[in-house]
Amino acid sequence: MNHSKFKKRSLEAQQDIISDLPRDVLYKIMVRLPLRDAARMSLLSHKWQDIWTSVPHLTFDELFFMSLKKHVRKTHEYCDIVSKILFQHEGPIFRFSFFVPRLNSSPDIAPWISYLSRNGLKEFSLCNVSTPVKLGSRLFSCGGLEKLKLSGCNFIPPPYFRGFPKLTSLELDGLYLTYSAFKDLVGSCSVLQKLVLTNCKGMEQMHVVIDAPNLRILVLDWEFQSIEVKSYENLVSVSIGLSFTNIHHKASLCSLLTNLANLSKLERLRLSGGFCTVLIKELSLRNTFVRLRNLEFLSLHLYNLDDFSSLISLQTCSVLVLTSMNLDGHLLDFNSECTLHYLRFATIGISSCSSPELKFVEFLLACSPVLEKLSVLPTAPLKQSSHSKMLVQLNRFRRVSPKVEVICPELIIPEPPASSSPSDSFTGNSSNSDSSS
Amino acid sequence: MASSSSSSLSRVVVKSSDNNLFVVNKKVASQSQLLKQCIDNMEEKGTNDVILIPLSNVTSNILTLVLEYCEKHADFADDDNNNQELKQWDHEFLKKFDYATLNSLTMAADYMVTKSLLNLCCQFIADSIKDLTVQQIRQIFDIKNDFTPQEEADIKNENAWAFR
Repeated sequence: MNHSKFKKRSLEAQQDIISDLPRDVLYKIMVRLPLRDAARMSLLSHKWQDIWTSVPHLTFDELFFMSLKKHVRKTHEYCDIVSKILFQHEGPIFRFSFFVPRLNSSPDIAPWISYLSRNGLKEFSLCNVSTPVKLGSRLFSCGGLEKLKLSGCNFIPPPYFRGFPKLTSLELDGLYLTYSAFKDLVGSCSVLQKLVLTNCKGMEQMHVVIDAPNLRILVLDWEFQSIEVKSYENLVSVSIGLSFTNIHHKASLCSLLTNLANLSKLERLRLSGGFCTVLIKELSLRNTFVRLRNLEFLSLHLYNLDDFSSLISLQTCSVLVLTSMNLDGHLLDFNSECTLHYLRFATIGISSCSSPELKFVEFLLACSPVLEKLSVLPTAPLKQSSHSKMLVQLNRFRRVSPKVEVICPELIIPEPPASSSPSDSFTGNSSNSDSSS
Repeated sequence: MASSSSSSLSRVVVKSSDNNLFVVNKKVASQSQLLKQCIDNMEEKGTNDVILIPLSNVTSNILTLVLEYCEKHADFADDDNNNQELKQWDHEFLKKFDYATLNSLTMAADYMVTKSLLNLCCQFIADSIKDLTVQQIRQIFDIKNDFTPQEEADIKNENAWAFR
């Protein structure tokens, strides 16, 4: 590149440094501030007061509530503040997020939604972990909605509801949802790209069909009788878990998995809970994923550590050993010729330092020539003796990758008379070779 | 400067507001949507000349910085955006500048439609504003207080929750 040979004049002749930035840029700065800091900007000058009252994203998140906590003890006090901010507001509000705090009663959010529905709402997010709140019907008339994320509310579309034609992202958590409402909703969102359904109730006995041709990201974690995904072509990331293992229609799960295994665009797959049990019993990874050449990134939560050698394209893997009960019979006996050519990062969650778990660590270290980081994370505090034993073992394992860093934080059950706190030691990484003494 | 007559030259020339010329690799230039659009338009017309893009709003000092950013990010273009090394580089890159330079860089990133640089600058400015008092912000950015004491009191009263 030919850089200039001489400096002609100094860069800055402006008076107000940031105030002269274009309005859109000032909004971009404002929406990156916590709401409390953004509101305080209004005291800077008239221009900033104007920016604050027209900022197009309002995020009433947990952080916002925490910043008020000292002064707000009742629901109505909290709601008054939110209402005040909305009253001051001029112009469109494209994004609105609201966290429902645990206070003395449920807030009435319907009037706000009514206001938002007349002001160009595109993204709405409601996070509620306490008593379900009433949504009201106005949300369903927000035809411009592009992203919707709901938890802890009643989701009852009115009869005139015609869908959200522009919706690209739908995330529902902990909702009661009838299958017909679900089907109508997904069916009406023709450009849907992301669908997340977790902990929902109401479809336990149903054969669930998901028909969204543009879907790229699918996350399912709840109870259903059987499942069918109509179009797979565009899926990039899939995460499926079942809340319980009593699945009647294993065939539908197996065919789902076979289809996933043949996808060309899939980059991330996460399987957990009952799904893995089905997978292990009915199919094997070897049979399923051997053709999946361009699987670049895979997080796999498994009960059973088997058949990893077939996942040749793996770049990142995360395995959480939830239980090693059924592992003893299937001690991973790896073939020394097997190589995971692309694996660079791996995380293994261990529960007990049992030999199958350590065997799996040994396997990854011995078969991954470009491994950069291997984290061995206890899922629960370990006994001091188990931890020491594990460190000795970890040091012994052969490492084919010259640059691998093994990270193994201490998480130890505190001994009764000891005064040191266990949380301090969690940050202490003992890495690589010097930890055995 | 290259003197081939093919329209698919791999380099373009960008001119700063103070008339300095920068020869830029197309892949690097494409990090800016403005430059990319200009290149695409010229190529569609089938021009045989070296593409020259004048930027009337960006001084050469700032353009140097924008191009340094584009060059780094073009190297990582095919990699994932969450690259730790790149994030670290981004942070070190912005840390060097005073607020006036940061301001001009933000302005240039907006004008040249270099979205990731613009977002980075805005995040950086927001992070440095956070937790400061109104007085401190006014001082750092040289913002003139144009409120009367009464107006100031009204604002504090209206948004009492933010000022306790």
